[in-house]
Amino acid sequence: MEIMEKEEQVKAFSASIATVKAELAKDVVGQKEIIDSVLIAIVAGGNVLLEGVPGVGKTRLVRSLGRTLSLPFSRIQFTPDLMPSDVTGTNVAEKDENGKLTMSFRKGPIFANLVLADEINRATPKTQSAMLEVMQEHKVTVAGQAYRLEEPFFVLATQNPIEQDGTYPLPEAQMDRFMFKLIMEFPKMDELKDIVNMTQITMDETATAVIDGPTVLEMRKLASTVPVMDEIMEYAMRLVSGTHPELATSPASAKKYVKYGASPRAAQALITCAKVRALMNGNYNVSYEDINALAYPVLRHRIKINYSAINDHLTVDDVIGLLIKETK
Amino acid sequence: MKNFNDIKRKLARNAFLRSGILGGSAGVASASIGALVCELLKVKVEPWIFVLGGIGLGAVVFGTLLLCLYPFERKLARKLDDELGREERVQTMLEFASDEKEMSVLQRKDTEARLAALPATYTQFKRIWQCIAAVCLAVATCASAVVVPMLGKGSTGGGGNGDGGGDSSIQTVIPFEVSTAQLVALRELIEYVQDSGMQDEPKTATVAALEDLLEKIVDVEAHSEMLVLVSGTIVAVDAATEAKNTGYELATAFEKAEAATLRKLANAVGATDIERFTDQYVKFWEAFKEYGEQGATAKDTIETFSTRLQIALAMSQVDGADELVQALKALNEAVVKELDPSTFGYYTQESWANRMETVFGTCQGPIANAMNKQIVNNDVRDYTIDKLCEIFGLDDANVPPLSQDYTPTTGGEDDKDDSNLNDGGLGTGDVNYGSNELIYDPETGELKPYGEVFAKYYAIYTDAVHQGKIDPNLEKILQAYFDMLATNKKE
Repeated sequence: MEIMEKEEQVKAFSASIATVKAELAKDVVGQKEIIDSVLIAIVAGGNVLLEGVPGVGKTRLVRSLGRTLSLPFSRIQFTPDLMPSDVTGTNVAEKDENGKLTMSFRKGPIFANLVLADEINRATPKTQSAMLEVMQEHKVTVAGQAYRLEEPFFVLATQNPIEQDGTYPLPEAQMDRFMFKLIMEFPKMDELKDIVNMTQITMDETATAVIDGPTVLEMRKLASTVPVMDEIMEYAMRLVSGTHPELATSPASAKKYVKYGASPRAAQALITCAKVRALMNGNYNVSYEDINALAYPVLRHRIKINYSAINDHLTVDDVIGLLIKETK
Repeated sequence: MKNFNDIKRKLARNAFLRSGILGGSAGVASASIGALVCELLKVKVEPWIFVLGGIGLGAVVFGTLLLCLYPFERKLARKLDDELGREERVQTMLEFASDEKEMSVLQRKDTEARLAALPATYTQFKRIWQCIAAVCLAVATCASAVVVPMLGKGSTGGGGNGDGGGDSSIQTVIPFEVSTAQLVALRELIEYVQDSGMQDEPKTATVAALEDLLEKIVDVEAHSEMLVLVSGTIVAVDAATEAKNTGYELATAFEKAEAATLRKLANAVGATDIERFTDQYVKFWEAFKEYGEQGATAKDTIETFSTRLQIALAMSQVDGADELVQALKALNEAVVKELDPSTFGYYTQESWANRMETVFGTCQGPIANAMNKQIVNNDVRDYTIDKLCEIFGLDDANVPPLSQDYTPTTGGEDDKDDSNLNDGGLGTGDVNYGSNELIYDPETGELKPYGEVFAKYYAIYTDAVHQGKIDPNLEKILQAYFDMLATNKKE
């Protein structure tokens, strides 16, 4: 009985994912890999850092995602003058009916299920650090009082790779809290054409709700039960530890091109997301392909390449490719 | 995991089959090639070594192939995952085979369904051509190893004198390999000869011939070669003894003498056992006893006997140093000296007979000793030859002609001496050079009637005597010879 129920759940999982993708496709043209990765991150319970030039559909994606998943959505535009309390909320003094002054907590825009932190690198480090607790622990502490955020909670932060002047690069601790870093490429010609055609008709987002928050949580719980072979687990661990050039067991490319490697959160993210990906692809187990495919979004913001890589015209993704090749 | 186990079982069966066929073929081929190479290089190797080597190599090949082909679980799982699209389904299924969590059960179920969808050809016995080729190669090498030696031995069978016998156009070679038992028997025979009473000279030669045989027989591979070798040894053994077998020559010479007593003496010295010698020797001096009846004239008879004996000894061409010849000479001297009636103070026939018995009795010992040695030589020789034939399976047809034993004459009791020396010449008396017989003239080189050249021959003789060129023992014989010729009236 339980097996049958589980089987039904898996079928429902696949059906839900397919439905969400179909809905998102109404509002977001192309970007299938980005959508898959974002869905994986949401189901896995992680946050995503999205890097892309303006106008590629980052905000639209998150908004459509919120609608499809029936999750409240909020957008925070980060500016240099944004204060932490502008993000988390603050206590305000209010007069009650009797004229007595009381302090009440006014929730900030962070209190949503899906949060779009636009141009997060424009905010000051102080404001950025306010996001740390939220992203990691899914709670806000104001004046000693902790306020839990409703699950599922997902932060999609964006960065503009062009305008770096006057920006504050995200600290490593904050970068490490993003499960994925996704690069949103400029649409292809046919995709661009579709975007223009679509937006000529309407700019409205037409995706509708197909699943809700509890369903996402159930999917998250189901994905966590996917079995992972020891050999694959060890491979993922070797991949992550191989990013550290100071270790004797690291591959030659790590010693040559990496300045410093990924944290243990990368290994956690790899396995968690691999389970979700396997289930999304209709598999009942994690494979090497799942690990290799997720290595790029998981590791690209967690490792730092050195001058040798820059000198050899290698990007972070190129170095990750070498690491995958050299890790056995 | 039913489907996975089914696949594994079938692939394991295929692995065992392929390994067995290829391993067995390798073993047979290697043993055959080894035997063939040794046959071509004429290297002698025990057959069990090839068998053992073939089994060993076959086992090694079988084990190695099985190790490579056997579908061990992890290896099979990886292979099946490759077949199913590299999603590590089968490997995960194996790892979580005992996990009863719902997701693990579903994973197993999903994987088994995919395995069941694999085509049946996946577990079929593949590359059967490899096995066929290996078996063919093994059969071919085995056949070569059997046929090539047979062809080789057939071509070395020789023409006309093949071991197979019968039709000389069929070249069959009977192989031969000396056995341990034969070598042991040969060694025992050598020890027998060494411990025997054979005289030193023939013993040394006989042992040398047998040891030579022992050394060479181990390398003999053909039956015909063995026959030649053993026959040669038999001839050598016979020849070693023949040189000392003077009794035969003496007996033959005595037999030709025209004297019954010497004919009886021939039977004695030609005897093949000591009992017969004794018996014949007694008959010999029994016949001599009759001379005593002649009284004083016995002296002439005795001298005639002595002359004939000496002539016969000379005609036998046996070396004068021979022990039997020495003994017979001693007998001759004793007879001449002791039996001359004129040496008796008071001659009576009885006293002469008594003295004769004493003389012959005294002389019997040395003659018997000499005879015994020759008899022992011959006995050991005969035993050695018989034993060689027994050891190597030679029959009468394989034994070469050997020296003959003396065949005693059938002269009866009435066989008496011809007491007249002047009647008949020496030897068989077939040819007497009478006065009209033609003979070579040394001066003119022509053939002339003997009567005309006799004087020249006699003159040559007397000159030689005066110059000391004639042995004193021979001088008397020659003188008697010329005396006979001078008074011979028989043509």
